[in-house]
Amino acid sequence: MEHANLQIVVAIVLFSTLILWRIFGARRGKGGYVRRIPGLNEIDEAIGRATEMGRPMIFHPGVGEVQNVGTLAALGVLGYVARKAAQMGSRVIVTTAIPVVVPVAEDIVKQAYTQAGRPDLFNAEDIRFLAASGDQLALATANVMQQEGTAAHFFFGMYDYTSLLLTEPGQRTGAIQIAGTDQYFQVPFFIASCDYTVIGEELYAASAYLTREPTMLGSLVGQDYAKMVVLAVILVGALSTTLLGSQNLFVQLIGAYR
Amino acid sequence: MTKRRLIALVTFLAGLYYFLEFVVPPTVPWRTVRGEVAAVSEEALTLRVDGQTQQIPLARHLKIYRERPTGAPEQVEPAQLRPGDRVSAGPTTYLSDWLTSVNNFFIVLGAMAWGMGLISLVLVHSGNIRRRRPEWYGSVMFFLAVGGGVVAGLGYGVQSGWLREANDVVFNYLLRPMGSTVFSLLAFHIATASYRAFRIRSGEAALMMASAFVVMLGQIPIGLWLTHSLPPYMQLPVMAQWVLYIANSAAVRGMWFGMMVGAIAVGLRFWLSLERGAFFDREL
Repeated sequence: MEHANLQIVVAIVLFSTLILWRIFGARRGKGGYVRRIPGLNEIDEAIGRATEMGRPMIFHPGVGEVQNVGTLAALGVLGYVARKAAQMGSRVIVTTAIPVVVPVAEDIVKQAYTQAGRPDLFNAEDIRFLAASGDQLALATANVMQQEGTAAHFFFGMYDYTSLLLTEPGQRTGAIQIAGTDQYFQVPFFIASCDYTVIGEELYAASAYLTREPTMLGSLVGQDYAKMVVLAVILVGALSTTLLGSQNLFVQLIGAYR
Repeated sequence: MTKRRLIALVTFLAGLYYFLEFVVPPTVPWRTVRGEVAAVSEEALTLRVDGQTQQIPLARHLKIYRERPTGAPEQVEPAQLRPGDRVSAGPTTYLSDWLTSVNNFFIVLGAMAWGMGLISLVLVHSGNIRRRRPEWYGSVMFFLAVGGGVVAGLGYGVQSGWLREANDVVFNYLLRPMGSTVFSLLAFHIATASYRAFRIRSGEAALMMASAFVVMLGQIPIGLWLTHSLPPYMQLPVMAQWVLYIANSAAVRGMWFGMMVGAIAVGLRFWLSLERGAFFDREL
């Protein structure tokens, strides 16, 4: 197992403090402004469209294990999609190749339908572990799209080469497709084959953006403060290296060039 | 409410272990000796510390970490050490010693989830057969395939016999080529997706088309042939390298910084059970 060096410990403590400071600040009413993220705005539109057409929708939480940050963020989005679908009396089918995701997704969807007062609409068969490998899952998901005539597809989480295997068959069904991943190598494929794409850290911000909970919004503001610190370190590091050489005190302090 | 508090408590304790394991030094700081390896024997490790040699007995609780260029330590056994290595050696803080056991616990939990996955599949396919849904015969095939797969799996590691042959047929002669076939579909999907992406409908699409054109031509010999008479900075391979390694790197690094900070924020929210949207219907 890797261990942190001093600089990493300082960075983690500093960033965590900034994020928690803003979270608790937001809980006291000091929220923040979140810029518009079109991909996330369209989730409601996609659910509404599927409901009007009387067709189900598919949510795919990526190919990462349940402890992957991208998968955790995707499960946050699933919670929102399931709640909205339950309120509108629509059906969400979750497909996955990760068995651990099955009970977690089942719990999230079941809770969403129960809270919306429609526990009768929840069907455990709609949380589907379809295959143990990514390419087989992509084929099986494409089959579900055809058989069920799904009208909206959501692909959120960590993705590998299967991104295109999942979204291209979906594109041909004419369903509205919204994707979000933290794997930048897959982003171009999603942009090419989906109607809306949520890029990189926007995936992590999705829960906050969708629920508008003070805790989540505070977390976003805290992230921005942390990014300002990173930006300041880069600027000071570049300037000090340019003016004083690569062995100046600041560079040694942050542990660069080791 | 009790269930939620229990989940929150277990999540916090599990996260706390991994957090401490990561940030707490693997050896007790005030009893750790840092230096350069002078010699290693079966009984002791000899280090050069500030110009003087110091012998450290190789006790059972002693942990040795070699310093990597990044500063992050890497645990090594005495036999792996070479004279001149920069190491730190000291009594263990015990947190890392538990790591394998804790990881094994989570592997066991994950293995239980495979049963859940199988139950999910059985539910779906038995429902298909019971209700005679379209293509229900595919679900019959599922049960046959599960049975066949289990029998073929028994041949794993067997040297010869029909079980070994069954294993080869199912895993090497059926599943592997079928996987390759699905993978090869990517080529066609990339072609259709590229066609849609490269239709110039906006300023951004035009920019994407232009940069893709430069990068694609810059990767193949015809790109150099077309532009070899121009000054070097106007040759397509040079421009392609600039797009890939200068312009693209800046954007990718920007994304990386955002994602890493975002990952810390998501990790904190889950660790402290602040993530209302996913697992809790209200804040704890």
